[in-house]
Amino acid sequence: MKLTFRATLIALAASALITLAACNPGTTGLFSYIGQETKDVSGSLTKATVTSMAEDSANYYVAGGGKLFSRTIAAGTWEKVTITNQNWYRAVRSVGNTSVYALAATAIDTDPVVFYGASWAPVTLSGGEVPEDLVPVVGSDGHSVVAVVVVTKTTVQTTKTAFNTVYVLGDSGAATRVDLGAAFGADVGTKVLSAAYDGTNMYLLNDTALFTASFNPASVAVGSLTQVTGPPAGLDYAAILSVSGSTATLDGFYLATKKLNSAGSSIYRSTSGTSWGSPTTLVTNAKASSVAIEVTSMVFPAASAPCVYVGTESAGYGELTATAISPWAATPVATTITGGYDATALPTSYVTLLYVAANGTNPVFLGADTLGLWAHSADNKWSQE
Amino acid sequence: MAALSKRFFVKHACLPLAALWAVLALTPASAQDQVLTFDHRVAGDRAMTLQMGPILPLFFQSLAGTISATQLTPGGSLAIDVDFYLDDNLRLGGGIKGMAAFGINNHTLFMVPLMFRTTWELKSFPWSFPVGFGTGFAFTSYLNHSWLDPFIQPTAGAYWNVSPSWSFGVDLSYWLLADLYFGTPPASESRLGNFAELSLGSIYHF
Repeated sequence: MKLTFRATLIALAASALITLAACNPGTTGLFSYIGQETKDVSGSLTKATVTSMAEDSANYYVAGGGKLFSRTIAAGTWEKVTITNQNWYRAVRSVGNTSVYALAATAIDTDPVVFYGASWAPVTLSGGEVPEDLVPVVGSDGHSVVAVVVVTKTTVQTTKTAFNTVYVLGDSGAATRVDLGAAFGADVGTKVLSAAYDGTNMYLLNDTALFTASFNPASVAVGSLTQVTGPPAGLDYAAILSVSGSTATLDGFYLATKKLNSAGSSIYRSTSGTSWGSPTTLVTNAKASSVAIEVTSMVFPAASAPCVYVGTESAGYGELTATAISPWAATPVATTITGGYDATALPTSYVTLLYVAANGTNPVFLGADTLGLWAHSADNKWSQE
Repeated sequence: MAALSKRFFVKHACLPLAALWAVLALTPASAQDQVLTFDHRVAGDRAMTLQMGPILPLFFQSLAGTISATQLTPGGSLAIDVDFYLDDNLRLGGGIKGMAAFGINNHTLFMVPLMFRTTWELKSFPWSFPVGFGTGFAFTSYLNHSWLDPFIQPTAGAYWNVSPSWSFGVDLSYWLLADLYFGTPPASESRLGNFAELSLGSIYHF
C-alpha cells in the first residue's frame, strides 16, 4: 500500500506540471479547430515566392516556394500538383494557353527535368545540359507566350558555370537547340532573363547582351543568332518587351535595366528591336534616385487598357501610359496608372512575376516575394490569391 | 499464500486444451484443483503493463450533441501502466499513455493521458480477462494549441498467461476526452473527443 500511495503522489505531481504547461488555445477550442480545419494548400501559396506562371485552356499553374499549384481558371482553390515524386518545382510556363512545361528537380540542385503537356512527359534535351529556368518568349501583343526558352547551364573547367545553350520549345513539345556562345564569341556567363518575339524575330536578353534570330513559332525554327548592337553598353539589363498593334505612343521595344536608380540605368524604347542607335530614354535614374527600384519583368496587358506594367522590387507599377509616358516618380504612385488601382492593398516586397492571363478575366497577376500571388481584378483591386 | 500465488501451471499450451481447462475451471472443483490451475494474486503483488497499437479517431461531439468528423488520420499509441493487486481479482494503479495522429494538413495531434485505473480480472485458466476503467487528464497539443482535458477510458481485454511472470494479450479501449472551455474560448467551443484503441499488451507480474 505504501507503493500505491507513492505512485499517487507521483501522478499528482505530474498532473500539476502538465497543468502548468497547458496554454490557452485562443478563441477556438482545440478539438473544434481540428474538426473545422480546412485543407490548406493556399496557405503554402500565400507564403511562397512565386517565380513563374502558366495556363492551359482550363487551369492556371503557379510555381512558387518549390511547389507547383494549379486551380481552374473559372474558379476553385489552389491545389498542389505532383508530377512524379519530384519535390522541388522551379518554374512552370505555357505556350499560348495550350501546352504547359514544368521544371522540377528531385532536390534543389540535382537532376532537374522539364516536363511537358497533359501527361507531363519528360522533355529530352539533346546536349545533356542541366535545365536552369524556363523563360517565356512574349509575343508582340505584350503578354501572349509564343515559345518557352529552357535556360541551361554547363560546367566549364570544373569551376566555371556557363549558359551557352538554350532550347526553344514550341506548343507541340518540339525543342530547338540554340548555341548562344557562337554569337557571343565566348562562354556566356549569365543566363537568359527575358525573351520577346515581334512577329519575325526572337530576342533573347541576358544581363549584358541582347541576341536576336529569325523565329517561326509553328515549326520552332530558329535562324542564325546574332548579338544586337546599339543598346548602351555596360549596363545590367533585366527585361525586354515588344508591343505592336497598340498606339503610336506605346508601340515599340522596351529594354529595362535592372537597377533604375544607378548611373545610366533606364527603361529604353526603340521602334526597332534590331536598331537601337538612339533609343528613347523613358525613365531616368535621377527620377528614381531615392527608390531602390529593381525591374524584374514588363508586360502589356491589352490595347483596351493601355499601359506597360513594370515589376519592381517595391511593387508592380504601370508607369508608361498611353496618353503620357510618365517619368518615374521618386515614390511611384499607383494612381498614375490609367484607370488606377488600390495601391494600399499591394504587397510591398520584391515582385518576381508579372503575368497577364490569356483570357483576360484576371488581366494581371503579380508575384510577390514570400507573399504569393496577387490578382488585379476588374474593380481595380489587388487581392491575394 | 505468496507461494501459492506464484504457482502456475501451463502443462499444455495448445488452445483446445486451454479451452478445456477454461471450461473445467468454471465448474465447481476441489480446493486442490484450484491450487493447481488458477493464477492467484495477493494484495501487494504488482503488474506492469506495456501496450502499443493503433488508435482510431471516431468523432467529435459538441455539448449540444452535434457530431462531427475528426478529420484525423488513424494514429498510434503507447502506454505503460503499473498496478497493485488488492486481492486476487482487483488491482488499482495508474499509468501514462501517448498517442499521435495527423490532422487534415498533416499537423500532429499529441495526447498524453495520465490516469488512475481500476481493473477487475476475470480469470479462466490460462486466460485472464481484465475489465478496467481509467480516469485522469490528458495533455493535448495541436499546432501551438495545448490544453488539459479530463479523460476517461473503459477497457476490456484478453490475456494469455504464458508464465507466472508474463501475460500477453489485447485490449480494446475507448478514449473519451472532454475538451471543455468556460470563458475564452467560449463554452460553445467545447467538444467531446471519442477514440477507439486496439492495443497489443504484455503484463509483467512482479
